[in-house]
Amino acid sequence: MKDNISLDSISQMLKKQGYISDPQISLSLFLSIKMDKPLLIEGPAGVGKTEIAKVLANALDTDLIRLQCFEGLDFFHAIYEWNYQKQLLHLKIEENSGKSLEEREEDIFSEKFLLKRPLLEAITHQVKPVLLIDEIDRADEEFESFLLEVLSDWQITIPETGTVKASHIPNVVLTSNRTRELSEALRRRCMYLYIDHPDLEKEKAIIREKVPGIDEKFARDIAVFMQEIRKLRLEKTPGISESIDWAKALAELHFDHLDKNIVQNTLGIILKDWQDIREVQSSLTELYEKTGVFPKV
Amino acid sequence: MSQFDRTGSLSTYVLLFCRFLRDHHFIIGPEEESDSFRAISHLTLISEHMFKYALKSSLVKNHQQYVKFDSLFEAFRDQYRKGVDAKERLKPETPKNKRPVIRNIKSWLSSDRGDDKLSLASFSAMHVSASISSVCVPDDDLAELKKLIERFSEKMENAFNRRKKYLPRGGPLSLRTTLRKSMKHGGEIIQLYYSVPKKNNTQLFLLCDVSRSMDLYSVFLITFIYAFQQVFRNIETFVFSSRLYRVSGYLKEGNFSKAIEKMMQEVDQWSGGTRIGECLYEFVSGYERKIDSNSLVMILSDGIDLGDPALTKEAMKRIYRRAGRIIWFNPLAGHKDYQPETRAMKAALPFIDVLVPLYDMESLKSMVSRTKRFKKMV
Repeated sequence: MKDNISLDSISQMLKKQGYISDPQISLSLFLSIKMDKPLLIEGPAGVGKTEIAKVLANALDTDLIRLQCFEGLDFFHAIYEWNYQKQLLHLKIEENSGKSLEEREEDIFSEKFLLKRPLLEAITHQVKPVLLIDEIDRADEEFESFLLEVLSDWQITIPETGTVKASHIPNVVLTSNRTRELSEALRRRCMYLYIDHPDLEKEKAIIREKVPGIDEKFARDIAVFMQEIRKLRLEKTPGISESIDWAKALAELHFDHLDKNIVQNTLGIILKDWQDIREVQSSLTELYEKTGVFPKV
Repeated sequence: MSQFDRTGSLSTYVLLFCRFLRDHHFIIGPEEESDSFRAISHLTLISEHMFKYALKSSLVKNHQQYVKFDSLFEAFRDQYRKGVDAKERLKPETPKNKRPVIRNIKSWLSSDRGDDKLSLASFSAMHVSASISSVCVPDDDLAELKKLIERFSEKMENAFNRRKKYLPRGGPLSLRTTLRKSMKHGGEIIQLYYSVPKKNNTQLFLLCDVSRSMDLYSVFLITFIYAFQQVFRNIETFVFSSRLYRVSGYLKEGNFSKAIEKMMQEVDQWSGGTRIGECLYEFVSGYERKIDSNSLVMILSDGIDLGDPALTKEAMKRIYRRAGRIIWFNPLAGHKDYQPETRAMKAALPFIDVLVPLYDMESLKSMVSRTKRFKKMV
């Protein structure tokens, strides 16, 4: 699969999946696949970092295995766990089977009692999957150090059974919202891509792609408005996912233009903080003038 | 890529470019160089854009470098076209009126002050050698400072939480939890659980002002932030003057001189003007998801500022809403006649939980002994 991929084919596959890419994104994905190196994607929330991994899995027609990071994420959540209940049940059943203690122990520490978590699943998967390690910045530094070992050796040691080597090196995508600086060591093992909020034309194209049938001018008005909102000092700057949600909601409500009432009543879709809503409401008149998307009364 | 034909091969160009980036503080080793060659080899048709993007993907490792990369790429290309020897001439330019960074921090640490000033307010227990090669703080002084901060850390950890957590190993056996957890196995006791005091996951943020007005306390402050980073586990340290720099990574280095050396390479705004509002705003925008009610934000500044006080107010308001508490260490606050009258201090004051004077070892000792009081006040 890896040998058949070209830069053009990556761009076309992304386009086919409805992902509006740019040359930098396509090239980073292409090089990450070709060089078997993890791709670290950073950027503000809601710009489509996670989406890239999903689209890539669809485009490569393979499985997506996702490891959602959080504070306190440990070895057992990420790699494997023994199925204690099943082991106990098995021991009860085997009580009168006449097997020796060693035999029974060997039985219960076999693969059928192993619960594979995302990292182990990814390296033992039948086909080369896409492994998404989402929001790595939320995980603790200890986990990051452990991840380094997996990402460089592609093998995991299970004390009871031995070392498991990767049957395929997965295509790894790591995402981070930069709430914590990642270690240099992890960064140096990855290719790097930064995705910022899209510019006006790209945002318009994404809205048109994700909300089929939306009028071009209306899509542009929404994009212009969102670009201006992002210039305000907000607690949570809305991303492209909010733009898409807003456009979908407006299309669902059969609106084909923006006016003051519509914007005021639907601000909750794009802003998730009451102070931000208040801030935008107080700046609406100014926004109207700047964007020029509202009909003059 | 016709420029290569005139002055050298593609590989020479890439190697020289890697050196050029290294001169601009990019961390580029043989592995990154090899990655950049591999990346280029996968391109069938090399346009300048694709060439740049391929190098960018393989040589850039963080956002700061990502932002700088395009301009550096262009600067290198222009110089290369002019046939300038990249190794000798393409070193970072030093503006005429600006001293090199290494000298800047040395003078910030000691040499540009008169001895009389130094004896007034700097960290008297320490001797700083401002030799060109390294900044030295005697081990005893550093150890004393660390010990004080450890005491501060213990107080922070212990006073907050009396809750327990239950683990398969640790303190005394918890029969109640063991029986409760055995329910899922039909009452069969498979695992014993022990009670362990729950640790407080207080996340600390330390922001230290390194502008010109803070020069007088520089020796103490730089040692203070280093010791803090060494003692606390969950801490992010920043320095700021007119820009904000995250320096936690450099201060984790076990050797003090090396840590300062590394920090010097990154921070080029020592002893400059202050824009507290902008820097605090940058901090809260970048790290707001990490700041929560368990966070303690410590700001070390005299509050003398050239920036917009409205922005300081807005940034402090945002930090206040998110953080558990805000402590402002102000070196000037130790003076008996001190009033927080500067614009920035006035703007920040409503959002500060505790304002503490901190300028030398004695004031630190006094702060540590009053740590419990901070908590009661908050």
